[in-house]
Amino acid sequence: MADYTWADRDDWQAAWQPLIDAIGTDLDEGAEVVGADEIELSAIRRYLEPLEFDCPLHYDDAVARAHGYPGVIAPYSGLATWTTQAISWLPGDPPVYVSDGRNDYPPLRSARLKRPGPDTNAGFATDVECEFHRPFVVGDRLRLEGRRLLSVLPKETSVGRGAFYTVEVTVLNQHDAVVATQTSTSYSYVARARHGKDSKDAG
Amino acid sequence: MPADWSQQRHWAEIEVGQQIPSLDFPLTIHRLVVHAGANLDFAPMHHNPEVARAHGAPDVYANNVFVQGMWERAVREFIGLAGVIKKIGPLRMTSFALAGTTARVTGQVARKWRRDAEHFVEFTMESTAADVVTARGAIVATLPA
Repeated sequence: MADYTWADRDDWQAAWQPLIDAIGTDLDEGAEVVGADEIELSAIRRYLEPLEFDCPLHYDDAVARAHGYPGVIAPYSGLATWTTQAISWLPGDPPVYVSDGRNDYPPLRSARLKRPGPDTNAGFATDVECEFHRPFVVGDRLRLEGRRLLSVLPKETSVGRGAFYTVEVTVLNQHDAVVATQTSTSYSYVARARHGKDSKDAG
Repeated sequence: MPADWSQQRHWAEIEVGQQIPSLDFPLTIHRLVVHAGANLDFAPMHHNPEVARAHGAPDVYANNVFVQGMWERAVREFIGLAGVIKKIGPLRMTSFALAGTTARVTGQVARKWRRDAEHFVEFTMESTAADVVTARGAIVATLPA
């Protein structure tokens, strides 16, 4: 059972000390996070659709090769798509859809990534910076390595009490080549409006 | 209007301060849901208004990957097929890009430089919706000389 009572205390910032103490360490302790799927043409097409993004490098193999790529390349902005694990369930997992509340959500597999510090029930990304070292192409299977914690800033905002924290990851392909390095900041918090309800941090 | 991919800009013709064509993205719940399905980000604040409000947002809003995608399209249509995107960011989400608004993406050339055989351009980027800046940042790309 999650405990959000820390957010009510006068010294609520102290609850984040375990995460502050982890600055400089790999939050995944050496474990790799492998994308659920290879990069596929159909997945790229679905990514392009809501953007109405018709660059042929992302769907026309001949055009991509004519520009020096080994095949169709994925949009760079979609890096998080190609490194996402299964949303909530994989073969072998126990059932995750175990209640029928209209707004119930199964735990996200990404939320299983360990993070020291207090329980939170909400979160969102605030900053991202990604440097690309090579394109990622159809057939690539990407993975994240080394979720190194760079900084932690406990802060109360209009949506609740929580902390901004920044991590740096390296993204590799199936050939162990580094395709990107990414730094991202998230704000995890106890939402004022939800305080007292038990829900997963789904930021 | 589809982009004209037969045109190719070159680094030599780019000027610091030059604006890139702006793009508008009307944000509907349908569009956010289609994007969530493609991007695999099923965090409820991006598709479920009740949960988004419970988390403190006024409504469902575009995630940072959608913002990156809007910026990438705007820059790609400017740099053409021979351009190469080297870096997205730093990108800061400054406010919620809410369903029911139109996200406008603008950008301009901040600087250009050469390193070895590569010719770089940095674009400063901004997203606004309902007259509110929702994201600011930069993209770095290379172009043919």
